[in-house]
Amino acid sequence: MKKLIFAAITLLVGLTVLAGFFFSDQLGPTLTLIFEWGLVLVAVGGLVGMGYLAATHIRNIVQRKKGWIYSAVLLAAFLISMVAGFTLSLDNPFYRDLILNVQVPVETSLLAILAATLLYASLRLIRTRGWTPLTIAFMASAFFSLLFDLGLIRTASGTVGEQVVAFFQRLPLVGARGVLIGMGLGGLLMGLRFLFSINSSGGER
Amino acid sequence: MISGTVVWGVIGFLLTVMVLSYLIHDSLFFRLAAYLLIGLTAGYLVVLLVNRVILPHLIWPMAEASWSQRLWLLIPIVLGLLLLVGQIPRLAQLSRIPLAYVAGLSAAVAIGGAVFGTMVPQGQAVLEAFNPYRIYAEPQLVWVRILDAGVMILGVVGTLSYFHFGQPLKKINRTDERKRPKALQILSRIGEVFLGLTLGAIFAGVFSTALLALIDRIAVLGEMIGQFLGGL
Amino acid sequence: MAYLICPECGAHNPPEEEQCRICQTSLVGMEPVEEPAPPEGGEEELGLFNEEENDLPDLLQGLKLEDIEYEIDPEGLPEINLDDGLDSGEEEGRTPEWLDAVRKRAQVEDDSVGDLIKRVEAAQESVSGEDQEKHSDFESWIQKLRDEARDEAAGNAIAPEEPVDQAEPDAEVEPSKPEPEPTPGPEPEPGEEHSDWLTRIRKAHGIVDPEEGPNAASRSLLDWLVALEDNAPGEEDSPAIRDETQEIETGWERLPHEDITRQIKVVLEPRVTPQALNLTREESDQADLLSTIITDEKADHPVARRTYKVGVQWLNMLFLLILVVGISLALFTGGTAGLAQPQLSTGGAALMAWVDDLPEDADLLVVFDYQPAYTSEMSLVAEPILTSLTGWTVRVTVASSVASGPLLADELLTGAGLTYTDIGYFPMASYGGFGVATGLSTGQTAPGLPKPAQAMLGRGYDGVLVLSDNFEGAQTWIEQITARAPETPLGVLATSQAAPLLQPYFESGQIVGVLSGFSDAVALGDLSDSDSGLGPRWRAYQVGVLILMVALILGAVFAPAKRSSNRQRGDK
Repeated sequence: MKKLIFAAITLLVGLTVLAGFFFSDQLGPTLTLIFEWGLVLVAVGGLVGMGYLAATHIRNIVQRKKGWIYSAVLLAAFLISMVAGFTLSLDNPFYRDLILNVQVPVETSLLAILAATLLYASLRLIRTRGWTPLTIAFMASAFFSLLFDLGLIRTASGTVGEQVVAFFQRLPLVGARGVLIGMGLGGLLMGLRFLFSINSSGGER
Repeated sequence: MISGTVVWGVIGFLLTVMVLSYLIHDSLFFRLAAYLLIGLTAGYLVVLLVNRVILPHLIWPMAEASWSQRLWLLIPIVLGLLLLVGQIPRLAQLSRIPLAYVAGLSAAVAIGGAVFGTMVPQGQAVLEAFNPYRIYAEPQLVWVRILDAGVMILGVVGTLSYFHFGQPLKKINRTDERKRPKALQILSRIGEVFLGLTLGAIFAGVFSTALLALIDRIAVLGEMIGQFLGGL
Repeated sequence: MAYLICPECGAHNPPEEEQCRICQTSLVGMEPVEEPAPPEGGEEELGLFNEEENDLPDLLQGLKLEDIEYEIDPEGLPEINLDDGLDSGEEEGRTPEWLDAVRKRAQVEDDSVGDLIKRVEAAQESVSGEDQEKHSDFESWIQKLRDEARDEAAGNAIAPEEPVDQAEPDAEVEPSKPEPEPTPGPEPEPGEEHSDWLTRIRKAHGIVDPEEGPNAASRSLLDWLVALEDNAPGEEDSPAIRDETQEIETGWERLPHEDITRQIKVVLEPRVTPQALNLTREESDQADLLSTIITDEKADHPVARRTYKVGVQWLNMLFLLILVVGISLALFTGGTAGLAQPQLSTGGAALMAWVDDLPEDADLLVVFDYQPAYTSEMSLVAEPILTSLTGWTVRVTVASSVASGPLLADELLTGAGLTYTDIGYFPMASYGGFGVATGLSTGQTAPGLPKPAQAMLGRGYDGVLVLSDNFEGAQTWIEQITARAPETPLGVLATSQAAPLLQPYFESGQIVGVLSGFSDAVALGDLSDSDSGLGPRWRAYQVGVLILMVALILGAVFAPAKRSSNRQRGDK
C-alpha cells in the first residue's frame, strides 16, 4: 500500500509536468508551483547532505579513525565559512574573497594536474588499448583537432580547401550527434523507469 | 600594512604549491588543501542554500504573505519537514514522500528535455541534411552537401548501433555482438570509428582546458616569485 | 504365482496389496509379474548357489527383500526379519527373484545401495557374455570379487573358490570364463548353510566376520559391499593365501539353523524436509544487493595506487618537465607573438553576430554554470562578449546553477563594468532551466508564489546566455529552453572541453552560437585588435599543445604491434 502511495505521487507530479510540455498555457501556473516546491525540497535535501557530511567527519574525529586530522581541518573550514557567511552575508567582498581565493587556486591546480595526467595517457594510449579502429580514430581526431585549434592550418574563404577542412572538422560532429541521440534515448528510458517506479535492483520487473 | 591582495596572493600561492605537489608525490599538503576546499565549500553551500533559497522562498513569505498564500506554502513546509524527520531511522519511510515528489519532477523534466530538446531536433537535423533546398542552395557545393548528408546519417546510425540503440549495457556481452545481423555489425564498426573521432575531439578539448589551467597556475606562481624576488 | 514388484524398493508383494509392505509405496496400477518358469534341467552344477535359499548368508538374503515382515519396533525404526522360508520359492538354476528385484531397484534408485548394486551389476556385465545365464553372471561376479581381493591382498593370487565339496586343486579361475561347475557335494547340514565363499572373501579382505564384530547382528548388506570396496586387507589381516584351493572356515557352520535368521535393523532416517522459503525474484535480488552493499561497506577501501615501473615513472617525469619548462619559457621570455593566430570558429562568429544584433535595451539573462576551476578560461572567453555590452542599456539578469555562481558573477560582471540583477540560485540546473523556460513560455506564475519565485519565473528575456564549463550543464539549459520556449535565442559561452558535444546543437539551430576555448578568445582579441595580454599565454598554449602532439606520435610509434594480453593497466 505504501509503495502505491509513493508511486502515485511520483506519477502524478511527473505526468503533470509532462503535460505542461503540451499544454503550457493552461498548466503554466501549476508548473510554477510545482517548480517552487521542488526547489525548496532540493534545498532542504542539500542541507541534509551537508549535515551528513559534518556528522561523518565528527564521528571520524570522535572515534579517532585514520585520517581524523583531515576531518578536523574540514570541520574547521566548514565552521569558519558557515559562521562568516551568516555573519558577513554573501554579498560581503571579504567573504567573497575568502571563498574564491581558496576555491580558485585549489580547483585550478587540480585541473592543472589533469594536464599532466592526459600527457601520460597520450604516451600510453596505443600501448594500453592496442590498435583498434576506435583508438586509431581517437588519435587521429585528437591530433587534427589540436592542429586546427593552433591555427596552423588556415584556408582562404570560399576555396575548395576550406570545404575540405570544414568537412574534416565536421566529422566529430557526426559521432557527437549519435551520442546525443543515444543519450536522449537513455534519458527517456531512465526517466520512464523512475516515473513508473520500475527501478528495482534487478533492473526489470 | 599588507594589502589584502598580497595576503590572498600568498594564500593562493601556497595552496597552488600544496596541490601541485601531487605531481611529485601524494603528500600531506595535498590532502590538507583538498580537505580545506571541501570544508570551505560545504560551509558556503549551507549559507547559500539558507540565504538564497530557504529564507526567500519559504521563511520570509510565511512571515509576510496573506493567509491564503501561506496555505500554499504549507505544502513545501510539510514536505521539507518530512524529509528532515525521515532522517531518523525509525521514521525513514516518511522521507519517501518528498523524495517521490522530487523523483517525479526530475524524471518528467528529464524526459521532456531529452525528447523535445535533443532527440526530436537532432533527428530533424539529420533528416534536414537531405533537404533538396539545402543541397541545391549552392550549386558548386551540391556533391559536398550530398556527401555530408550521407556521412551524417551513416555516422549517426552507426554510432547508435554501436551502443545497441540504447539497450541496457549489462545485457550486452561479447557473444551478443556476434549474434547480431551482419549489417548491424558493420554499422557498429562504422559507428565505432565516428565515436573515436568524437572522443578524440573531446580529449583535445579537455587537454586544452587543463593546459590553460596549468598555464594559469604557472603564471601565478611566476608572478608571485617575481614579486617576492623583486621585493627582495 | 504372480506378485507385485515395488517400484521403489523392489520388494515382492502379493498381488492384492495396494501398498508395498516395506516402503509403503502405492502399488495401484502396477501389473503383477508372473514367476518365471524354471528352466529344465536344473543347474545343479551351479556350485555357488544351493537349492536351499538358506544357504545364503543373511546379507545376501537381505537383498531378496522377499516375504519380509515389516515390524515397527518401539523406537519407530523398522526391522527386517529374514525368515527361513525365504527359500521356498526359489528353485535351482533360476535367477533368484530377489536378484531381479534388486536389479530393478538399482535401475531406478540413486541411493548408495542402488549405486553399489549398479556397480555390482556393471561388474557382472563386464565379466559375463550375453549368452550366459544370469546365475553364471553372478558366479563370475563373485569370482571377480575374489580376484580383486586377491589382487589387493599383497599381490598374492587368491585361489579360486573351491566348491563346497571339492574342486580341482590347481584350477584357476579366470574372470572371463564362467566358473567351472563344481560337483554337488553332500547335503550341507543346516548349520553349514552359509556358503563359505563369502566368509572367505571377507577374510581375504580382512573384513570382520559379522558374527564376531560388535555390530555383527546388524551388519547390513550395504556395509558389507562398502567394506568390500574399500577395505584393503593388510598382510596381517589377510590369511595366508596359497595358490591352492582351501577351505575357509567361516564359523557359520557352527550355528544352529534357527540362529541364522537375524534381525537386521534397518534404520530409516527421518526425512527432514527443509522449510520452503518462497522468495520472489525481486526480493532475492534486493537481498543479494543488500548483502553486497553491507559487505562492501564493511570492507576496507584502500586507495588504489597505480604502480608504474621505474622507467615509466622517469619517462612521465621527463615529459612533465619538458612541458613545464616549455610553458615557463614561453610565458616569461620572448615577445608576444605566437606561432600562428587561430581562426574564429563558425559558432563563435555566429554568436558575435547575434550579440551585435541585440537591441541596446535588451533584456538579457546570463546563466553562470561553471566551476571556479575554469575561471581563467571563462574570463578569457566571456570578456569580449561582455565588453561589447558595456555602454549599452542592456538589462542583465543573473541566475546561477552552481554554488559559486553568485560569487563568480560578481567578480566577472563587476570587472566588466556591468550592473546586474541576481534572481537566485538553482540547486539543480534542470530545475533552473525548467523554471526559466516555464516563465518564458507562459509568463504566468501561480498566485501564491513568493516574490523571488515570481522574479525567477515571471519574466521574458530577449536572449539567454549560458556560461558553462561542461557539456551536461549547457545541455540541460538548451534542452529545457528549446523544448518550452524555442523562440527565445540562446547562446553559449563554453570551455574547450564542452565544445565538441555542443556543436550539434549549433548546427541544428537550437543555439544561435557557441564561443568556446582559448583559441576562440584569442581569435576574437585578434579580430578586435585589442591588447588583451593574451600573447604570452597563447604562445605557452601552443608549446603545450605541440608537446602533446609529439607525445601522441611517440606513443603510437613506440607502441607494440599487438597489445599484450598479460599486461595490466599502468604497466609499461
